[in-house]
Amino acid sequence: MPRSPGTPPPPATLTYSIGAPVTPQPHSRRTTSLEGVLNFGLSPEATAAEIAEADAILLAILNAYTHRTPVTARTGSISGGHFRADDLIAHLRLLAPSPAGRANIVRQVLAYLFPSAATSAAEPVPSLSEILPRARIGRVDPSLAFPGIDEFARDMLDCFFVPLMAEGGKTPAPTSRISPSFLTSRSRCDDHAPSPTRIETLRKQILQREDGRCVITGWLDEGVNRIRRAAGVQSATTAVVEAAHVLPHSLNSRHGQLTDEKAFVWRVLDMFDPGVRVMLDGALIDHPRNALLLQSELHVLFGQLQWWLEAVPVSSSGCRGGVC
Amino acid sequence: MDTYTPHMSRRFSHHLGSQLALEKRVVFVARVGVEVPDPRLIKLHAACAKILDLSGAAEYVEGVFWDAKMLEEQCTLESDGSSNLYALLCMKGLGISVR
Repeated sequence: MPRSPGTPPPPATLTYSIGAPVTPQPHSRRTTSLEGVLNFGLSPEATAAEIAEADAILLAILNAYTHRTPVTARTGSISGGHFRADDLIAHLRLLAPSPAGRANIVRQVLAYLFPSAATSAAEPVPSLSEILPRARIGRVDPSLAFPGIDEFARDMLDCFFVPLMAEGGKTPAPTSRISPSFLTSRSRCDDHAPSPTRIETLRKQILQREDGRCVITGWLDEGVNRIRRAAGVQSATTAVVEAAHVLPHSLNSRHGQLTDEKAFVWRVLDMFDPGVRVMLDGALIDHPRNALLLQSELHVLFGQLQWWLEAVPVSSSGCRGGVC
Repeated sequence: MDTYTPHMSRRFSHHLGSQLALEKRVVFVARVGVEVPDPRLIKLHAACAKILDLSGAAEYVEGVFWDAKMLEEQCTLESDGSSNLYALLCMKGLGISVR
């Protein structure tokens, strides 16, 4: 039943009543084309009330899934690895970097769980005003959505997290050594330079910004140490340090043409944080704003999402310059 | 001035038997015209990492990597059919080989 404008959103805790039965929608969407798996477009305009209602519906479905599905059936397994589909979707929603990202995720999950009979995978994801009547409380038995929860979670892992982690920490090594002038000369990012040249330039820039030291351990780059040793200054702790991309360099194509798999990863990232794709388009992926200086071991683990950085609120950040 | 603290996933210390010094603060300061890491990108990276860690899905992803490694070493896939060929094909489409 459509709500009139101005109607307050439903409360956060909802219970489903099984109303007039609806035809179960097919949830088996696995195809050979990523386009046919998940179609992440940016969210069309939605009202605050629509977003709040969609959010409450998704929470209610996840809550029902959690309580009605045995733990053993809520796990996916591969070679001994397990995950809980409801947990994955709940955390996707909870940890979206922005309200717009969260709204996108909620809309995407509901569109997946309640597809229109006429929807084809190649079409843009429908707006919330189209999705909500199909998912609205009282019309749908939430258990009909449970298989879709499993499949959505699997697709997110297979087509987004697996490629993202696999690409992380793979920045190509620079081909040339740094010169003694690197600490003072200014390097500029050239959008038209070949990728290896850009990587080398980026490393020099980051070495300058971080004074040649890993931002976590503070160990000095071996190449920088050689230069300083020649000048009579030596550091006791040195390591191979690298320019580590925050979002992987290899997600962009050398020739501007992305594979379906990479295009899909970018669409999901853009769903989480609308506009991030433009920020890192083409050569911008190798901009200093997307890089930090890390020892090689920490670089790999950062790319594999095994550790991360969290901002300290301004009021409690009381140190200056490098590592405190 | 952008200040951060490092955070580890649960599997980080399990794999390495070591920990990052969590009390450390990392401060980025622009020098010689080189911009600091964009807080928005740092936050997006952190969100992806935390989603994997908190949902327990990291083990699943590492299972895919393990299968890929086994394939590269010309071992066989799981005989019970649990190997995820779909994820392996996604990796293949990215031109990924296992380190």
